[in-house]
Amino acid sequence: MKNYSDDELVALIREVDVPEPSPLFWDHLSQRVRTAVASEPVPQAAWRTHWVWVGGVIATLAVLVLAVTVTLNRNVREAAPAIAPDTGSGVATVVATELPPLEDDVSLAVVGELASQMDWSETGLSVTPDTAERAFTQLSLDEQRTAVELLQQEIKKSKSL
Amino acid sequence: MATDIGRFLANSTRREWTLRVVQPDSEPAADAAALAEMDEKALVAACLAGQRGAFDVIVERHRRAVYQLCYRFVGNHEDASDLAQDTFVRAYKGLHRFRGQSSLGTWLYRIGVNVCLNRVSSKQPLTEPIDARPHLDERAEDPARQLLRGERAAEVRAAISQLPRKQRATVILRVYHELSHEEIAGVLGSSVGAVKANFFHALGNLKRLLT
Repeated sequence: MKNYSDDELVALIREVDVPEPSPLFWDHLSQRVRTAVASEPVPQAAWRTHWVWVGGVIATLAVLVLAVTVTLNRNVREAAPAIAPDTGSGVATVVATELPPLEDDVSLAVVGELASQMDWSETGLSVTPDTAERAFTQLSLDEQRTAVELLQQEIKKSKSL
Repeated sequence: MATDIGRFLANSTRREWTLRVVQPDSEPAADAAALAEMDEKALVAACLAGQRGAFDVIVERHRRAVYQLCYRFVGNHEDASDLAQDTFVRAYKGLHRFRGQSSLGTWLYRIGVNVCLNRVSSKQPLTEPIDARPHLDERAEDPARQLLRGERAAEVRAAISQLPRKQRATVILRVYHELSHEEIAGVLGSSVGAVKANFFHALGNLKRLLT
């Protein structure tokens, strides 16, 4: 039984050698490693792996952004009214941005073609300077009186505003 | 190296034929010589560039140290050679992760220690085969003293094998491979303070086991 000091103990441990293997063993070990490594793919540099990874992430993000953009556009198109809210002029304004380009709309092209061949004087839709007077003269006396009263009321309303 | 060994000239057209015989091993031999002179970083870079011969040079430089490390853990040649091979194969697979912050040797030690600790924890405590006992050479030393030394060496190995994993690794790296506390901390992935504490406790445990 012996009590070792730290130095004595370290010296005792250090005395224990690893038995030297056969000189042929080293080449044999190298050959074993070479054979085992031959079946492995060549390791890639870290920056290459890194950039491949970064490229993959960027591509995935790009696809995600594209998908979200397309989905949002579709949702907005479905949710938004085709006609803009009344601005007070009484005229409904078509939201131009929601419509397809005119030159791409085949049905509109057909309508345009037909409209260009139409005689507007025959349709009664054209407006001339004496149109209102002629319409007024076609009314009966009572109707003319009522129309005059309504017009005067509207004029008063517009003046009071 | 190429050697021109024959030349035939046609009569009127003066067409010239040259036959070259290339010695098959000459260029790889030149490559191997160039690789053998490279430093560690250049070898790693060459290996990552696809030159498998560069890894052969790495193995050749570190095989003895890695084998001895493995032997210290398992105490027999067969397991040590298997573990050394496993260490190098893992190093090859993970070579792209080597940052060069430590030496290649320290990095290989880290892999080797992990491989050995995994193996040791999954196997029975080491039993030293009779063949591993040092051969008694009557010409070199007094046989009785040599026998006594062999028995003491076996006791020390057995005592080291009973240490907890980190203490065992610390003793092996510190005493046999003479790594600094900082290097051991790098290998084991722990702090320098923890390494010092492990070494202190390991010596205490060994004193208890050997007295």
